[in-house]
Amino acid sequence: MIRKLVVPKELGEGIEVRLLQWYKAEGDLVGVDEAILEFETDKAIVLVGAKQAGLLRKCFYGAGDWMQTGDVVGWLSDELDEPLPAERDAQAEVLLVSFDAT
Amino acid sequence: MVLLRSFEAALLRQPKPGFQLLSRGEEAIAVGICAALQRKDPFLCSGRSIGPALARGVPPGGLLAELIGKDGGPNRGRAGRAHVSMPSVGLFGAHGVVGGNLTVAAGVALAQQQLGTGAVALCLFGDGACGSGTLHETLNIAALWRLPLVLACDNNGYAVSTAVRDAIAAPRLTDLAAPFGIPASAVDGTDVDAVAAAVGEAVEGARAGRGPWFLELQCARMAPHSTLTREERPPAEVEELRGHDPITLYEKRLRAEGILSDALWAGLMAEVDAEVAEAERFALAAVWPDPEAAMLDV
Amino acid sequence: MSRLFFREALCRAMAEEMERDSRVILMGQDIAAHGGSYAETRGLFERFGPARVRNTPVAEAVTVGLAAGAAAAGLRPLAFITYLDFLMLGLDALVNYAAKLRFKSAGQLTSPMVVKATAGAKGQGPTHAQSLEPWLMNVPGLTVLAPSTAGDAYGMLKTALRAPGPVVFIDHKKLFPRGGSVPDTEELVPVGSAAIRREGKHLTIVAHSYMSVLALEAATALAAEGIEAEVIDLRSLAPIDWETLTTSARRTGHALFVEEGQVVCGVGAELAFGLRERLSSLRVARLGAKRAPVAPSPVLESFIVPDAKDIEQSARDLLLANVKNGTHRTGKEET
Repeated sequence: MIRKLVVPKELGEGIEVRLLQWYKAEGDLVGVDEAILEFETDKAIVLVGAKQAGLLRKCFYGAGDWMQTGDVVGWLSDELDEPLPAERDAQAEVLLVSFDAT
Repeated sequence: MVLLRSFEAALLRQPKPGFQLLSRGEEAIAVGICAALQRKDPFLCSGRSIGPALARGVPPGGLLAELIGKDGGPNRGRAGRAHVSMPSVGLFGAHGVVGGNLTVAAGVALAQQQLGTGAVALCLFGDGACGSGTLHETLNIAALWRLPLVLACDNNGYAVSTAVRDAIAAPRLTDLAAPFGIPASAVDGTDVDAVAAAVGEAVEGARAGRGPWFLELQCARMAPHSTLTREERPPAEVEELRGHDPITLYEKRLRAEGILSDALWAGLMAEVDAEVAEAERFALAAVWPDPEAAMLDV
Repeated sequence: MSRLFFREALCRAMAEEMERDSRVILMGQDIAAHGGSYAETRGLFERFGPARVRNTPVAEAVTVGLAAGAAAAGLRPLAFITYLDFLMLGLDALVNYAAKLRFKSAGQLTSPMVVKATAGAKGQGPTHAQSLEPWLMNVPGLTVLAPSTAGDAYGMLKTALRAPGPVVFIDHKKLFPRGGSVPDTEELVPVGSAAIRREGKHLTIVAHSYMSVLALEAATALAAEGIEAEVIDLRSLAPIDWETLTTSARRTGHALFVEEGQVVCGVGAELAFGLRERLSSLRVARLGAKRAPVAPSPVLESFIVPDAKDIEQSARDLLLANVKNGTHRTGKEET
């Protein structure tokens, strides 16, 4: 199953964030409760962790890039050989995540 | 002090003296303060500014022109009594809003501290400002930042018609400084030597880095609040104030001490008369501002 | 160009000006180790020390007075007012002292201070959300600036910190979460210059601060209907860039003025009148908050304060000429 990693909309509509770092690379296994990436809003550093396991298959942004809430940051899949969608915003389940702002 | 008194009399002789707050009875405060300040010390005062401006060294002719709105004054008729300033002689400025100059004075003191000028800001304000929040905000920050600031309250007993006891809950005005740990003293504001000594101590303390000081200078306002305000105090009370005239008191003392002779006094009077007459001539000769000049320096 | 958060652009401007001019000092609530209510002074306390980055008590009267007096006596203070609403407590020193000082001293004294205050509705309710710019525009001697982009925040704050007289620099809570391009080399935005954010021929939409952002959104939506709106970001509310406004309005013949605050004696009222004095034929409309205090409930707040859809509708109304007698208060409901 393909899941998309999305900048959490719970932060607010149209909030811009800056990607600070990935804790995982393409091909890595992401376990439940493991940190995936960190970004910053104008107010806080936000650590995004996985609440579902998966293989990180594709990262669309790198450190320093700007994103908005709702943007697709990457794709995860259950199997390494699952074909990825052609379009970045293709329909897919949204990966459940936790996010801690500090 | 005699110059201040005589100058104000000349002001009242002008065809249109305008809305003026006189210093009659409060001359020792203005003169005593200015005697204790160095030229570099910025002096800020309230709208009761005529005595303080003269004492600080604003030329009487220019001041008279300013007060009646002519172009020959230091502020070209745009300040008048309430906002007169002449930084070149150390009069940083009056501010006509009661309590308005207190926070500004804190800023002026901050600049002295930050720029290391070694100067002390002194703000003279009326007892009417003691109920104002700006005084308490200023006392707080001045104590917190140990600003080189002397807050001198000219307590003439009344804010227009309201007696101090009806306006301020604190039994003594010096109590207002106590919560902030600011040294405070009450001084006889009709004794010019006592004022100069107290201000000198406060200013030099502030200059030495010991932070702010609060002074209550007690005096009596011998005239109504302003030239446009009716006198509401009972005639007997006003009459009684004559006994607190700082000029008479000082004259008597100097005579008793053998410092002042009739000849010296007469000479002093003649000097003041001449200075005031010259001021009147200057103000009379001064031109009115070009109306278009109202748009300058906006 | 670098992309920075709005607050980072402000911070860079302050840092550069403090580096350039030792007279620049900062004063305000929570600006020292805390780094500012909007994180806009982060790092400055550590870099410039407690004498130049000063926390103040919750005492706006003395904060503004300190800045006014310190400016008159040789410093270049920047005073922070967390919410523009609270500037009311410091208006005497700003309006009666600083704004009049050059005039009343006949040019002997000036007060080159900056007050930075944050306006705008974002859920904080009646006394933490107002847009009071017109009060300040009304005062002779005050310069009033209100950027809407990170780049302008940088360039305009630098300008403010070098300006000769008191400047009120108004930012907006909803601008802080936004990023924007900021020039890598020093660039100042002159006082009194509006910016054309989008060109169009059918009508001119004039806005400032966060309403400029919404006006651009509205213009994009209107373009899909074939309505080409020119969007002018006022940037400087006092003085006003009449030339840019007049040139645009003459071309389009229609001007819509958008502000977040009250329209009564508002920015739009002044601009509409000023343009009508300059142009013989111009259809005008204004859009602003409904005649109520700003409520904290999101439902109430969004009803009171204009949004992009309101701007679109006002633009359509103006062009459809359902405007009687040339002026018209548009919005969701007539008042």
